[in-house]
Amino acid sequence: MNAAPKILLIEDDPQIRKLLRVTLPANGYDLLEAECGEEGVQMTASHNPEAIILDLGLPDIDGLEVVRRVREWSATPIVVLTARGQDQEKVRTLDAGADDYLTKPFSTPELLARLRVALRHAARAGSETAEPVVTFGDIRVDFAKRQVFLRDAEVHLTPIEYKLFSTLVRNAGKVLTHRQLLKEVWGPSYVEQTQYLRVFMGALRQKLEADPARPRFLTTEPGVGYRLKND
Amino acid sequence: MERTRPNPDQLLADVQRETERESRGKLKIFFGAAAGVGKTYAMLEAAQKQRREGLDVMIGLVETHGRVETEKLLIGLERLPLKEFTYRGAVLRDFDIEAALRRKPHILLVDELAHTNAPGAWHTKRWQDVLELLEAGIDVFTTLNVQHLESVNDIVARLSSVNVRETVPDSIFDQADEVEFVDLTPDDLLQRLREGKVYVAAQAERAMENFFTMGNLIALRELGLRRMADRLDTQMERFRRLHAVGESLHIADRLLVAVGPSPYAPRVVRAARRMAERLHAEWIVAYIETPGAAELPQTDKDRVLQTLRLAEQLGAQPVTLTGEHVAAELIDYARQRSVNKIVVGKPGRARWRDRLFGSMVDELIRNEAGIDIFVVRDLLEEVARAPARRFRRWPRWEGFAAAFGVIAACTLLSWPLTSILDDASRGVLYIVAIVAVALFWGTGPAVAASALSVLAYDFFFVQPVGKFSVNDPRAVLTLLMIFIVGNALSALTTRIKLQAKIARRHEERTAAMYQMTRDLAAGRTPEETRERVESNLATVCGGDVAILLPDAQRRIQDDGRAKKFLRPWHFPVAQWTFDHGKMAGLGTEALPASDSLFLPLRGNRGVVGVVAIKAADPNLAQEAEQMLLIETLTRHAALAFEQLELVSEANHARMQAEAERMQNSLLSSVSHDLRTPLASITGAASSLLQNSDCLDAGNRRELLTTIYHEANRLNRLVTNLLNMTRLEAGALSPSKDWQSIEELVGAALAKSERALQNRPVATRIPADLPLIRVDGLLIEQVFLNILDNAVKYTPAGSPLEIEARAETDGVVVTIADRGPGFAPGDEERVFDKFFRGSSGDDSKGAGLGLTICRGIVAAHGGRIAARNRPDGGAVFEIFLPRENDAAPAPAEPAGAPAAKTNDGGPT
Repeated sequence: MNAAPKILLIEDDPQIRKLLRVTLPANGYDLLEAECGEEGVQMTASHNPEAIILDLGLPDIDGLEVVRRVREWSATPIVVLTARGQDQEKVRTLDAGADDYLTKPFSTPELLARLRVALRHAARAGSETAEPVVTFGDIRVDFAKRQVFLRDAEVHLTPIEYKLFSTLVRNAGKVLTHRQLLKEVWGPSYVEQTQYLRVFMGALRQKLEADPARPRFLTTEPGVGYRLKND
Repeated sequence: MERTRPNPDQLLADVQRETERESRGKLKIFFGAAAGVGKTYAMLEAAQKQRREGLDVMIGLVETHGRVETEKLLIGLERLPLKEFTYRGAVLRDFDIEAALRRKPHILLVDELAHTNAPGAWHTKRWQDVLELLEAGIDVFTTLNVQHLESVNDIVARLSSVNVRETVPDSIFDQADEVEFVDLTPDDLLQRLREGKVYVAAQAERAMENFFTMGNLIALRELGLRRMADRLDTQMERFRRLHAVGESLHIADRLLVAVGPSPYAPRVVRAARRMAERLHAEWIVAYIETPGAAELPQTDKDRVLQTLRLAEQLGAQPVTLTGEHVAAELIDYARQRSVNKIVVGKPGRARWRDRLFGSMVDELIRNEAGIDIFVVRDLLEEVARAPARRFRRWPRWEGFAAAFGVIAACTLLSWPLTSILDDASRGVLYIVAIVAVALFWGTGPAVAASALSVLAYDFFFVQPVGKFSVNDPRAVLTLLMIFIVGNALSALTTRIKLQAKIARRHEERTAAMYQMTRDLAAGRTPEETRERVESNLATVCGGDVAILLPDAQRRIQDDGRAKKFLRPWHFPVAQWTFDHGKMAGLGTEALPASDSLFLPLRGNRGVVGVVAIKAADPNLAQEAEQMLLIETLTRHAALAFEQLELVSEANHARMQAEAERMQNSLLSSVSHDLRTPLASITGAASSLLQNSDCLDAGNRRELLTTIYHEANRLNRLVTNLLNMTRLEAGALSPSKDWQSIEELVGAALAKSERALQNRPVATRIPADLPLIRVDGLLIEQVFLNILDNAVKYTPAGSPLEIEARAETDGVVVTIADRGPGFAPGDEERVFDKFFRGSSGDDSKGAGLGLTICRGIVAAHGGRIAARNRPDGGAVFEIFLPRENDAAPAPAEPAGAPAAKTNDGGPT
């Protein structure tokens, strides 16, 4: 990353654009702006940004449509901005390939955090080498040996639990929807069985969290999915 | 007498008619004076022309009668297959209307409009079929002879001595879109007849010989032409009215036609119609029901009914009046209705009777109301003469025997008392006897009795005794008195009896109506009303009654209550009745093959349902009085149903108004709560803008923090408001999915982290708490609101405890604090809208949070309650019910712990 990463903002509301125009460059990003979906798609193609911030409530085409079209030929990380009550749309956009979301009104630290996570994962996806060992808090995951340690004591996870956990860890910081997790761990025909997910997430929390009811890492995003917080 | 400018009602009717015409099919009639003029040929020619122009023309039914030229014209036209009807073992083929309606061609050819359909067909007459085709939007070509028109039927009969039975109402002719007169001079027609080109049924040959005379043909042709001219006249009038061309300076006449049970009455009606048409007048047909009318034989009563029906068909307004004196009633009514011409038939009674008893016509002529009287005379006397017009039932012989017996008894009684009784008393005794006979056996026997009394009196009590003669002329007076008084009294008695009978019948009718209206008024639900109406009607009709109501798609459905006698094949008939708003079924002209009678329930806003009647009497539809009662009752019922509908609409409207009111109150009370944080924000922001130089970093930071916090507060408020609005609008429908309480609590706690500010929060949620089907976001909101509430009303840093446990029928979650708790009595009220704690601090928000909690929990079928804890603090308890299905166990390879599900299975 030599130059400042280019962030494309696809947003029709001038106030939010103004806000980000001030915030992002101050945090070391280069900001490109598009006012509508079509423009946004074109600019993605022409400027190839490092990440995209996409508002769902665009005047011309659906945010979902933008994600679909961009995802046809690009893996650029996309963070969507949603308003309250757009829950279903939000989940659909994530399932279609968006990486993360933010609910308006959002705070700048939150936005920056999401951006960082998204960029980090994008960079890692580019490079083929995955880290063999990941640590956060008291938890250490050894992918090579398929072992998980809590405060250096090994935690026994069932195969499914391990698969679930490792998926979350590999996408640490990013939200994963129910569908995505179910598809990854159980397979495409299980994408409607949220109860499986809940049961196993509960088991993971029991095994790995100090207070399962107030998890530090294995957090729930109701209506969307789960996120492994590592900050 | 009114002077008419284009009458607004007429105009409206015309405009309506014009707009209806757009969607209706167009009717073209090929009209001729007699058979053989070439109507079918002309029709086919026109059809071929249309087909060449590319329209979808189809033959419904065409009679070529074997004529080659006509048959040639059939080539190329698609034919609708005929339907087969079996009747008495024979197979008849006739027009298939159902297939025609299904096929829906652009133009359909249906020959012989006046034809009577085969038994078992939908309608009795082909013209009824044609009407239905037109209503379905199909254009129809048809043929018609002048003799088939209702209004000229009698003239033709008179001319040709052929009584044509198959008639078509004039309205169809007048309202046809096009009528083409297929003309052939009588010479040419006779020529064709000689050449054998006119089809004649073998049986009718001889009759046809009478028909096809030069004189007849000329007359028929003239009749046809005249009728065409009349039609044009009407059209012209209509055109003028519609386009307000010129002012029609008509002084509107109004005709009143008097009819009775005489078989001549239909002629009078037809003649009156012709008159009315020529005068462009309204006409009313009245039947005066005298007290003696009840004694008429059934045939006479039926005839009156038919005459009134005919009148209605021809376009009159039928009216039945009751009264003693026909002429007086007529004049009275005429006055009321501003009638200026009365039409009656030629009197049929012998002149001496008129001299003696007075002639109705005479009285009419002498009226003081300035009304013209027209008497319709009739040359043809032979046709259908009823035997002895005033023929009443010949009284049974028992009456006379009884009369004899009574007088004999009377005589026997008086004989031994001859000395005591004087003339007067004896006379009175006989009179009493005569009256008694009149009372029990009627007029005939009473007259006989009075004659016998005189004879007996003369024989036994008048000198010389034992002989039928009188010595003393004064005795003659006595005898005469007995006779006269006896008869007079018996006449009175019979009259009284009759009137009592009529009164009783009227009373029955009124009682039935009263009963019905009372029942209807008491009915609260459509179901109740329906049942009451059904039972009332069943009593009146003497049979089974069912009321059928349409569903939302205006289809009559078998809603399972279908009783006793309703079968699947009844429902199409019911549907027809509903769609057309006309009677159908047994005894009517529509779908008469059915075994039940169907009446439309017609209210003020149209047809609301159908009444199906299976009466014991198959002729129910013909009984005028019964039908009148039934129709009145059904109208009441229809109005009652409409009433119920209106009531529910009113309720609905009221509820909507209420909801709107609540909406408004919500908005008004909340604007204040929105303004407060906004005020802080604007204040702080403007301060920063103004004084950014003179403010130090600390102050600036403080102002910015204020803005941040107040904005967040505003955000929460807006969220609450939006949720509240959705709740009130009933738009809060949970989208349920399997959720873990542990997760939802965790998420709520995570979101409230900042507000909780490191208070000690203890959670006690069992690991094996079963999953539950709820809306995750909504339940999270409930927890958020309660946590928010706890933060607002408990001291900073005071602990919170969150627990969950499983119960047999659901899950209970409790959130408890160690704050001040509730004031006594507030435990319920905290959930009310806009309720704020006793601290009364405005900054605590709008007071909607807990209301929303209650709404969400209620939408899940659960309960929420608040209480004080025994050792200080408040606790909120939420119960969420479990639905009946258990979460299926997730798949897991062997060696893994079993799933934790609702069935509480072992781990």
